[in-house]
Amino acid sequence: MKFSPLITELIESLTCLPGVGPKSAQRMAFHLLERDRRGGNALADSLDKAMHQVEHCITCRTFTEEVQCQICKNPKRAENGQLCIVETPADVIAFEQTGHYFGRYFVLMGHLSPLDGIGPNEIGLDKLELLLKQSSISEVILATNPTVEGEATAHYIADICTEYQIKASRIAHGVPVGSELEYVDGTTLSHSLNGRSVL
Amino acid sequence: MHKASDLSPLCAAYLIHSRPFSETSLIVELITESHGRISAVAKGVKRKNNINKSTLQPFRPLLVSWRGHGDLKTLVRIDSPTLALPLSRDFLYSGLYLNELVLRLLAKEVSQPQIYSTYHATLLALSKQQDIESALRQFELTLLAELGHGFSLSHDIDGYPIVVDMGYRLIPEQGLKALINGPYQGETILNIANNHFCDKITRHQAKQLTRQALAPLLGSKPLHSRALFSRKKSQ
Repeated sequence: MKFSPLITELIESLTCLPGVGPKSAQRMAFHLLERDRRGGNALADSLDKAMHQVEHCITCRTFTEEVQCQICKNPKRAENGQLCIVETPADVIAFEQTGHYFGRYFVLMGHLSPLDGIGPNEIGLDKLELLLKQSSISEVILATNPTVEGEATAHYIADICTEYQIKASRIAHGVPVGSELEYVDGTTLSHSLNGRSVL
Repeated sequence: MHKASDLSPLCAAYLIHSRPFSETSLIVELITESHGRISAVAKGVKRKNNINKSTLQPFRPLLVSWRGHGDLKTLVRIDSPTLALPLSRDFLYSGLYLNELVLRLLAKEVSQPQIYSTYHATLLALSKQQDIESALRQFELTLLAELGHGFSLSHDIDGYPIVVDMGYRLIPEQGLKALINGPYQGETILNIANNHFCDKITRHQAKQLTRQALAPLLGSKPLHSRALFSRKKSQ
């Protein structure tokens, strides 16, 4: 059976979401139409607003509908002179939830990946260089993912920091809390040995 | 139902590149010892607790077996006998350069064990922080020779031996030709042939020579990994 054009369009549009195939899209569409018209309208409204208004923060490149995001605007966050470099806006949230970091961020929106054609300028390193040159940053914390591309990105940024005589540090790699050493993979374990700290 | 005979025997391999495929899987490009470059799906490796997530990383010696005869195989077993080779800074960028060359130049499923063993040896040299220039030049020359684009470093295209104080130029797909004031000195070419990369001129000219020889194979698309090195030089 074929649905009317509007319903088909709605189902097809919903499949653009990650993890949503035709069957789940159909279920979502019927749920909204049958049971939650108000929710559907609210979703359409906020999607429309977000898609039109959300841009990148001019300082840290994270998503925001303002010119500068809340963290960059806050003068207190600039006090300790730390700048944490992360790959995605989700990483910013993860760090914020720890409640242990009070500096500012820079979001690369990816990592260096020469095989995919992503070079330094594609991840905004020209902008980062400008930031390092103009702001009073005393330490850059490199919090890219522990993958080969993440490491390459961290090393590349560390080279830029050396040029401007700014201290660059890499987040520690180690054993997750609550895990058992027996089941931790060898690479993580060797990293944790290399980066051990004195008690 | 899959037959046991569909399964390939365990084969030494390195991961060259991976990209996400559906929610939990990856499409990986591997360079294998017995089957050359292959593409395969690694199912479920992006799941939270999948043990192969940390195994399927570049520069880590792997043992893999797969199923399927088409262009895209399915990885069935992924083992890793040792940890990833430790590469950092320029050595890491060099490793990425090797991977980009392999991905761009090797045809799929053409068995080239010599390229695999040179790739492995080059990574080992890089992980021991040996001379980058000599390691990369040897890999490039082996790659050119194995792909059928090699040229003689002992004789020019007219059949005369390379002379120390003569100049030469490279004619693509043919070889070196004697030319007064040619860009490459005879002495340099003999140094490259003897794997003797001690002086600055040899290192510079060797790089230009392999770059010129690789250019027709790479076409007009630039190698992005070269951009990682260029920062150092601009300083």
